[in-house]
Amino acid sequence: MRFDLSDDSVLVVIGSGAGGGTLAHELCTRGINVVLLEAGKRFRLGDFRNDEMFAYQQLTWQDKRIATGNWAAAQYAPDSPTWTAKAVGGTTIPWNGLSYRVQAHEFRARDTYGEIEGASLTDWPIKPEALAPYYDLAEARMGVTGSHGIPTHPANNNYKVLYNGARRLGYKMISNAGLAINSQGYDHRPACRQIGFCNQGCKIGAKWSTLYSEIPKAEKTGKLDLRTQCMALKLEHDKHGKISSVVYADQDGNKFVQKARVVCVAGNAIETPRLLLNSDSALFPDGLGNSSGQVGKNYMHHTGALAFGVFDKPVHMYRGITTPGTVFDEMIHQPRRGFAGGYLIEAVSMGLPFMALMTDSTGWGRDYAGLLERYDHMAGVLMNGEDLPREQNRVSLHATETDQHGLPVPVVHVEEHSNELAMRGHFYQQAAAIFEAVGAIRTHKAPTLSATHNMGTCGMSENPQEGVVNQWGQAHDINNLFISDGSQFTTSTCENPTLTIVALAIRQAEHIAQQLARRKL
Amino acid sequence: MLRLLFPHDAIDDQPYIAVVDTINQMAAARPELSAVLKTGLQELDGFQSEPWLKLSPTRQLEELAMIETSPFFQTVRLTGRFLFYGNKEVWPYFGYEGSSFEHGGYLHRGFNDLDWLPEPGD
Repeated sequence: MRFDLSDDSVLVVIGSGAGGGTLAHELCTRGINVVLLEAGKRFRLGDFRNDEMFAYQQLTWQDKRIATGNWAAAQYAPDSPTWTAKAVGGTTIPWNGLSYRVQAHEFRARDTYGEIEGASLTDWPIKPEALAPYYDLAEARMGVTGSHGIPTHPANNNYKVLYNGARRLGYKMISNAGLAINSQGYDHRPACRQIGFCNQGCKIGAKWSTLYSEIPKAEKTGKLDLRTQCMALKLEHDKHGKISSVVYADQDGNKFVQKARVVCVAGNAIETPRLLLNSDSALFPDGLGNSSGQVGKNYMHHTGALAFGVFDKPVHMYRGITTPGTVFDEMIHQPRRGFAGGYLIEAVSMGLPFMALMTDSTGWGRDYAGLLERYDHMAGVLMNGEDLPREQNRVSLHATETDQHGLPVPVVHVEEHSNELAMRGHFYQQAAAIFEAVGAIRTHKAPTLSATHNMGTCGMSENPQEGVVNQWGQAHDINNLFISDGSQFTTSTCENPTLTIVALAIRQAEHIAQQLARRKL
Repeated sequence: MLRLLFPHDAIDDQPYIAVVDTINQMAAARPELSAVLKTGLQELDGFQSEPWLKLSPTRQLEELAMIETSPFFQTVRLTGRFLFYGNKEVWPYFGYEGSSFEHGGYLHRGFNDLDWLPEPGD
């Protein structure tokens, strides 16, 4: 350990993914001592394998979670409703690299869409203009193609199908810009070689990940104390309600208490509220930072679905970047379509093992096998749409089941809103039309079985009664408690969340540094 | 049964047999799995006066459909699916090339060789 457990001048960051890893790096470069707790192991590039099943076991957060409600996860994968990672780098190891800015109107979802029955829409307390400079910084640090003079990639087979189908259908906003995957050498990392196993960890580091793009730079400052396989269990506070320390366990279950001047929680949107709820005390009987009652609530995971066009000519969609490009036309808010908010149509591929698992999760027999036999003649798309915040969609603690540390297991409850059903129906219709426009024999449709994007459970709000944190991710109730991951999202927007998480982390670091300098923290 | 769950006529018996072998190994180490398999197989055989294996494929399929929700069926389906399609030996049959890093990725091995559609413009 670089810093003593008793050193109460350190900042403790919990989680080393897009939020925590970026934040830790930013704080260290500002001369701040950071203890970074990460529940997972530290892998090297050589540890990753181009093997879907192996990588799933190696990287996935598999501590028990229970899904309830009417979403696909509750029906098909109630024991594994989320697909996030447990490792240094967090979900930036298996992520796809899609880096899109939230649109201006999405920050004002309540204002734009109006009151929607059965949803708890509010506007973000951040103006798009305030975040724009941080998006610039994030795109530069991540090497996002199409920004800062970074060229886009050549189109792979799967993207050729989507591009041509979408053009023939009349779509205009089709692009493969916005990938945090090197198209040329950048930041001492090589250009992409179209390996095609992006979700299994990039073996050459062409895709941005905090594991190799942020953490090593933070370590070079001499200010980072990274403690791996250390699971945060509880946050402790003093008699004034100020966070004083973090209780955590190492891989052998030994408990430690690290004092802290400020704590920043970035465990992704299930573990973050869970930690706050598990830190209840006499002073905070409903959990930390929860005077609004909103901790854990408004869980969002995007409206998702898959569609595969089957052709009579080969595609080999799995060759190269897993999500090589996107149709953006449907990202607008256009209520005439029958729903509020928008969605993206993202080209996607998967290997044969995952196809067998995901395309028809209950299927067997001739139809099922016949579909898989068309594997190398298929092109795929994934829907990424806005889903509405609902109070009943929430992360809560199981009444009786506990994990290996004796802490209540998280329950993730989702009741899909009719807005999501309408949006999904529209996507299926459009996806089939895109594929038919380039000669598809048929289009196979499938639900997404687990959530890779998890947001909203410690949401930002202007009004402390409507959310958990302010525009800086700072808890309304507790000055020295920050939320630094996608839990902060007020609404889900229709964009993949990572770029926004990184931009918010850069901005939060700047704010924290200023507050420390002014002795406000 | 596996050949009916995942019918690929041009794939020979070997990969299916490999799944059976693995399931048998798993059952040898796990009594509750062994019990589920035994019960299920008995149920299949019990539908007609003849053993299930001696029935016509059509009848076999009908009876499999009847036990579709049983623990036996689901166990064999889920485990079999995982093992069968995860077996590198069958991948070439589907046109899946598997691990690519050691071959330098697909940058020079056809990542953009689709020739029946035009190149994306602008």
